[in-house]
Amino acid sequence: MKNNNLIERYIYDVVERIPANQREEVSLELKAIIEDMVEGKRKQEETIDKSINSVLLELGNPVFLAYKYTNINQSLIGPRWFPLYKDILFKIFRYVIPIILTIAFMSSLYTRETGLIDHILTSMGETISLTAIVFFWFTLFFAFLDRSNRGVKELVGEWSPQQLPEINKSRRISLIDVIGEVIGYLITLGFIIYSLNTTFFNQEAWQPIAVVLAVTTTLQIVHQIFLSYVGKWTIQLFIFHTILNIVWIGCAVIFALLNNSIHPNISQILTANGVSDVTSTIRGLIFIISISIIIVNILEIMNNARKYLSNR
Amino acid sequence: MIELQELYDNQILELRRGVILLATLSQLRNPIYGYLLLTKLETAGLLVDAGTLYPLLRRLEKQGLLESNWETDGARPRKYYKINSKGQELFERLSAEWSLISSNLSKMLTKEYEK
Repeated sequence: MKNNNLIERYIYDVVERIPANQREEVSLELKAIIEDMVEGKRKQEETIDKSINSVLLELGNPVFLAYKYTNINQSLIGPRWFPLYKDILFKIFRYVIPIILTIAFMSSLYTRETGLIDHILTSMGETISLTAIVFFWFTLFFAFLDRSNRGVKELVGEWSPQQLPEINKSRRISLIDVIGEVIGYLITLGFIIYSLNTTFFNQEAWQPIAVVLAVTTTLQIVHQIFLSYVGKWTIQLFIFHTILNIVWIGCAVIFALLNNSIHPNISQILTANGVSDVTSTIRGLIFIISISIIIVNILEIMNNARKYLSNR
Repeated sequence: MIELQELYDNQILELRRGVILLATLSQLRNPIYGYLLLTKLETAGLLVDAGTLYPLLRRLEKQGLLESNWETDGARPRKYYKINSKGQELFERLSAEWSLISSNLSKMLTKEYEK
């Protein structure tokens, strides 16, 4: 019973990672294949347990098997690195795009003597091109990594069937997931710390917000590590992370409501650059920063709720 | 510095990857199920990863090179694969190319070119 359960869990872990319309067929195929393989191994192995273990090890990590089922064409980044690549890329874009958009908007303010709409359009255009550059170099880095002799195993360790998730419960939180999340939070933390040394913000008003955000982000990292230890989303972990998201949203709202969050020098620089409506421009800038943070956090709460609900 | 054994292992993997499609197609003239195909390839001396072969069969089927059907008469349901006319044509062309490569390479490896 326990052994069959391990096979079912393996199949479950593979098909959870492939498109829904292929799951039923691949499940049947894998079941037939594994049972045949187990029978074939019975002569070599002492017990059925060992046969199953050996077969699952031969089929390998479900992440990579699922990748082989989903990718028809040869890709630039192979199955060794693609799951990690996809995961980190998603996180980088989720956190970095709002930041790039803000920076592009700021630099647009310094260099052009045009209206607010033009600034926003320019900054969006620059964000798209910067995003393309980030995507290009990041992909190139992983393509090189894939062609090197370093395997993902060296990073996340050997896979074993005992790591398989329980059926009908949320997928076990893999180290790959945790690494991706932690990198995203570390990037955010880096930007918060960096912001304390810039003359863009009025540090008197900004510092208390930045300290709260730095502590919140650190707690998000701790949450991730704890989540990987527990292995699945629980109501407590969901509530804790939602509180951290709400703190982020609260800080974004406070930042938007404060009149003095941007350094006074910025107004002077804008005026010197010929920007006619300085107040509206700064409000537009604050709006972009705040709304980006609010959207990211609402999306994160929704995403976490989905993970928790699928776990019940 | 990469160790010789590591280089060797990687190259062997690449070589096998290159011929697995041809070897698989060659065994599909009659209907055959996945595990039997895996053992046949192993018996013939071509070690193929199970985790590579099964997705490959599915991929070939999606590409319209194989036909498949489930047999439910035996002890357990099994999916049988068979090459179709398009797959056969691809196999014959690849097979001819392989013969050419193999023959040329054999000459090179036996140093006939050096004479």
